[in-house]
Amino acid sequence: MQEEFEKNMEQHLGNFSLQPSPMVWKEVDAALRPERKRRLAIWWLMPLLLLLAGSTGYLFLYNGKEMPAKNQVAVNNKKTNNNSITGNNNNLPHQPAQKVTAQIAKLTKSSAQQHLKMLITKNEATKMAALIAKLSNTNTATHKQSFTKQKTLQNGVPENKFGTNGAVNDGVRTLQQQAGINEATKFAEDTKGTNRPTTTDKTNHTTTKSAAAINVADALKTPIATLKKVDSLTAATKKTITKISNTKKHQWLVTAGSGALHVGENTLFNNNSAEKAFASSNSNVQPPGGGLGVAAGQNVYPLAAPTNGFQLTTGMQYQQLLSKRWKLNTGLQYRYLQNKQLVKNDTTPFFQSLGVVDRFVSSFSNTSGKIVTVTNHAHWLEVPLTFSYALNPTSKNRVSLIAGGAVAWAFAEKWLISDAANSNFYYNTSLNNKLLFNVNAGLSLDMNSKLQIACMAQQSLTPIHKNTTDKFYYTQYTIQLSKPISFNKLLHKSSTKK
Amino acid sequence: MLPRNEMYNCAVKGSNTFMVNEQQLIKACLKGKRDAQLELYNQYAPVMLGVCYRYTKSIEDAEDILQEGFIRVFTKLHQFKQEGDLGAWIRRIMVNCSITYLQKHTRYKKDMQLDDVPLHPVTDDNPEIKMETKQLVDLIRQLPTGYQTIFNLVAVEGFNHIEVSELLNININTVRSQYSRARSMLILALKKTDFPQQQMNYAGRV
Repeated sequence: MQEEFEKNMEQHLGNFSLQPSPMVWKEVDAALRPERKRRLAIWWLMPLLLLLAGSTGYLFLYNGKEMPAKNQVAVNNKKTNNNSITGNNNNLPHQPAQKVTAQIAKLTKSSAQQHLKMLITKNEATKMAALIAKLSNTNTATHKQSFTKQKTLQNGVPENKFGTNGAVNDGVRTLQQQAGINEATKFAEDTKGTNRPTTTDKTNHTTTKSAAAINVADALKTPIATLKKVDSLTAATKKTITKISNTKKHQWLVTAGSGALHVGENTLFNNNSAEKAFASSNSNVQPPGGGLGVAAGQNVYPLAAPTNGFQLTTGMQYQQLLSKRWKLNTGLQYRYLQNKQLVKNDTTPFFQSLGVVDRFVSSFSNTSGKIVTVTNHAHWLEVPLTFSYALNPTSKNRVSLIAGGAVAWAFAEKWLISDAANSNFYYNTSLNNKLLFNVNAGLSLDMNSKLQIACMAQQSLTPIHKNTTDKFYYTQYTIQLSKPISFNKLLHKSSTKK
Repeated sequence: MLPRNEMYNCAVKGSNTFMVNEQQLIKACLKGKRDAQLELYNQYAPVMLGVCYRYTKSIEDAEDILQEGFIRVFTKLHQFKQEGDLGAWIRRIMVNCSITYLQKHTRYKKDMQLDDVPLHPVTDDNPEIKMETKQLVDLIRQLPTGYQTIFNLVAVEGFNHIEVSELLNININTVRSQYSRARSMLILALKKTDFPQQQMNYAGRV
């Protein structure tokens, strides 16, 4: 008879319906739209942010200057050595003016060198020409004056400081060319031979030479000072470029890092807002202290999700330069992972009598015991293999995009596995000696080859346990510091100590 | 009493063409198509509001639950296994949302503190239900919230006592006694409502 009553109720109430107000759909729709937009926005924003960070770094580090390429510097150095007027090979007279100007034109890529060219060609060269014209009025003193000019040039540009710098030499050479220095060249040629002036004329010549020398030296002061300044800049730039070009083809790095750890059904590739094991539709497990009389919001999910934990990593990496932009990193790292899980420690006498001490269950209601927080630990040894692509390879501080993978051996682990289907947690002893495959990606900043800072995201492709109904994965975010080490230096230090 | 799944199947349409359309509808909803979501909502919202209404004391609360429930339906639709019945799945979500809502909100929370009451003798009475469905629902809604909830879960949704005890996290004996009490109260109320109607008939007013 009792069933008849319930049957009646079902028949009457089973299809009972009411028309909801239109506001309900509007609210539902409004709640669904932003979420989708936000999800989409995250995926679109990620590459945009990376691009923005990269281009900002690029612009910031370049500071609006175009850097000369490596091979260009090499060519310039070569030519500088050959054409040095202060060096041993004084072969300036054999260099036609057009050729020298062409060399300068090659160098005029940077704004500083453009400035130099302008100075030489416009103002100073005009002054020089006027002075030289004055001086060349005295025919007998011409050779000596030219000699003095050349000497002054030599004095003005000390060999040890600027001898190997192409810009100064080229600049001076242009000055010489434009000031009609050919005569000086002739004199230089004469001095090599036996056409040296006689001793009787020496005093006069010397007097004329000194006066002319003062004038020329005064006139050359400004351009030479400018040249010095510009060249010191060029030298600094070259130093940097040399440093970059001298970047070691391979090196060892000591790495250390830490970051956040998330364990869940969500992965970086599958960012579902809902996680099945922790969803209220999962009727296999009960809320932590859930049901009636639980504070608001506490029992939304029947299975307590593990807390976000942390991870620490340290190790050695070998870095191989593949090309100007590409680098390969590999090595050996140790990683420690930790998080916490809310469970119920089942103290049912039956299990106690069997000697089972740590029996953790997710069903919080039907068993005796107390709710405890268990800390999960894991120790990994991993071999990373990552490729990095430098966005600004010629800069002092290089920004690179990193992508790759890592194989990890979980050699010691005490990690609770939430098995929602069986309302249980298991301590996963079978995970020991298990290999986990991970992928990672991020951004790194190489600070003058002295320190590297990397922000990385790592996602495990292998689940914590394959046999559970719902698969759980590790997602890690790391900030990692790497410092290059030199074994030669270390060996040298230790031998010096001895 | 019908098994729960059968009852859920009764609650929604079940022809083959409907199933095909439903699968297409689900696929479209999973792709996030707004039209499909609206269609699904229009299809199930009235019945589901009826479910939510039975658990609450006001239509506003019922609409709140309906809203929360449908948000959950659309966000978790990927979890729905296509071999099951969508209507039953949505109904289960609505019931879960209703219980969560009652436990969350203070105006229901006090009434939901269910304690064991002395076991009420089970009555064999099965009064004929002559009233409109809406009136019957309103009668159920006049029961104290705890009784109302347990009555709905057992008598209408078809859960057995063990399932209800797990769902509400209370002792199974509490479920039994509370349901028995709720049932008696409702039968009494039904009898009371029948009596004046009979009187009116005798008076020749109908």
